[in-house]
Formats: sequence, C-alpha cells, structure tokens
Amino acid sequence: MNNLLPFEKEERKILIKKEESTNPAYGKRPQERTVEELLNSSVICLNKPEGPTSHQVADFVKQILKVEKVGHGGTLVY
Amino acid sequence: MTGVLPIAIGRATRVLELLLKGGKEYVCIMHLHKPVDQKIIEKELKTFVGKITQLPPVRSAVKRQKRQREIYYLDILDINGQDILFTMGCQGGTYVRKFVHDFGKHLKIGAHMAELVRAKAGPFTDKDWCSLHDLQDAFFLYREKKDDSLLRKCLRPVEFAASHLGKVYVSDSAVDSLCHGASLNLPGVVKVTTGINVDQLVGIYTLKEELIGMGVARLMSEKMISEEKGLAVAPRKIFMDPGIYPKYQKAKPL
Repeated sequence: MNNLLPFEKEERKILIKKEESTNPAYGKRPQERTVEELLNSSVICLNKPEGPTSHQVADFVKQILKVEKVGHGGTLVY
Repeated sequence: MTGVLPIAIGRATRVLELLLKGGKEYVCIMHLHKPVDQKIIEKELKTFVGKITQLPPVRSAVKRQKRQREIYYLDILDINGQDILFTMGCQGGTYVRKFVHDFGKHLKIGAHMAELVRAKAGPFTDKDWCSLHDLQDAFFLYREKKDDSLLRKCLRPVEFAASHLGKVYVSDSAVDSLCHGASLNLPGVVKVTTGINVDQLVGIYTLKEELIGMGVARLMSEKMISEEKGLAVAPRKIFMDPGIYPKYQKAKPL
C-alpha cells in the first residue's frame, strides 16, 4: 500500500519567467552549509521514543547537540 | 505515543509553523468494544474518507468548537479480533483519538484508540528519520573523530521543512528588500513551480535555493509568468537575515 498526501501527489515543474543567474559572492547553496552552520539552523526528522513527552525529547536533543534553542513541531498527543 | 517528531534547531525553530497545515499520516490501533464483522468495518470506515466534522477534545490547545477536517485516506492493515490496525492520511489538526471515538459511536458499539504512531508530518516521514541514539552517535563521531558524515544525515537544511509547498524564486536584487519586509512584486520573480493557487502558502527562495521566507500567493503559477506588474506574494514570515544579499540600487534616470 502506498498512500500519498495531497502535496506528495503534486508533480511540481518549474516555469521560467526570465533567464537570470545568481552572483556566487552572496549567499550559499543549502548543501554547501558547514556543520557549524547547521547547528545554528537546521531541522531533524526525529523518531520519537515511547515514554518521554515531545517537550522532553526536544530537551534531550538540546543536551546531545549542546545547542541553546530547540523546538518541536506539534505535540504527539492526538 | 511515538513516531515522526519534527525538530528544529537554533534559528530554524520559526519554520516549524510551516508544518502545522501540512498533511499528516498516522498508524493507529483502534479497539472496538464489541466484535463487528470485518466487511462492515471496512465498508463503514470508507464513509469517513473526505470532509468530517470534529469537536476538539476537552483537553486540547484550541477553542472547543466544531471544525471541519479532511481525511485523505483510511486503510485497514490488519484485524485481530476487536483490534483494528489502520493507516490514516489527514489534514493537520485532526484529532485521531476523537476520530476513533466517533467511529465507535457510528458503529453503535464504542471504540477507543489503543496505540498511535505518526508516520508523516508534512515532508517529515518515517522513511528517513533518525533516533536519539543515531543523533548521539553522529554527534560523538563529529566531536571526537572530526567525521561529520553521520551528523549531516541527521541535520537537514531548514529548506527541507518547506519542501511540501510551492516555490517562488526571486532575483538577487529582490532578496534584501524581502529580508526587510517588502512585498514580492512580479518584476522580482524569476521562476515558479507549477500548481500554486491564489491564497496558498508558498516558499520564497533565492536562485541558490535558499529559503528567504514564506508568504501567501496572490496569483496562480501561470499568471506569475504571464503578468508583468503587481503583487506576486504577500510575505508572512521572513527567515533570512538582511545584509546577506546586496541592497538593490535603482538605475539612475537618464
């Protein structure tokens, strides 16, 4: 069985308005970011274990990665 | 309860909001309070696909008034006596425990949720998740052995959290004013993905695929390409800091 959510069914193609390039002097492609940069800003797809609350799990992540700010998306209590 | 829990680190915490409206998939065990013929369960469950109305539970974070939610799919994976294992794709904010309770009422026998695992939260899925142990091992390898290969698999660029939305790419010259809160007008648009509709949430990107922010589309994809002037996207939330791209200088009149 392979069910898909509405956005997963959508095949997004690119429509071009004008040909334009970007100056390599500014910004950075996401895949070129260093781990230090990722530790300042990134997301994790976490497998939440049974037992602790979502909030506690976010705290564990904070301790493991030694970072100051960690948030979680949607408490798993539904 | 277990399953997919999207986590954001540092400056990325603000993007989690993008996931609230994203679809969710759950795997659930429903315990029926009396035995019911398998064919009836299958048939009745199908009637719940589509729009349903729910009253949020007493203990919930939202106002307790009836609200509509969409169920995208419901499939029974296994039946063991009165325990039904099923998968459910639904709109964000659907209460599964409530759904099971209402289904039990519908069958006139009662039912409760015995177990729940989240399999998808927007683009976050159980196909590519990592555990707390994976994270611990990956961080150890990075700290002690200077090997970041595992940690890179766990830490995804913030752009991943918006990958379920349509995309609007802008010129280098439009980036800085967007970071200062300006609206995105059509002359700044370089390319867009198909499938964007009016009033839909979209991601705004640089040509290097960096997420600048999110906003509400004021035109559908095709119109963004064909029209020359006017508002393309009304920004809602900006994630990129000003000063990364140069300030746009208007050409001097001749």
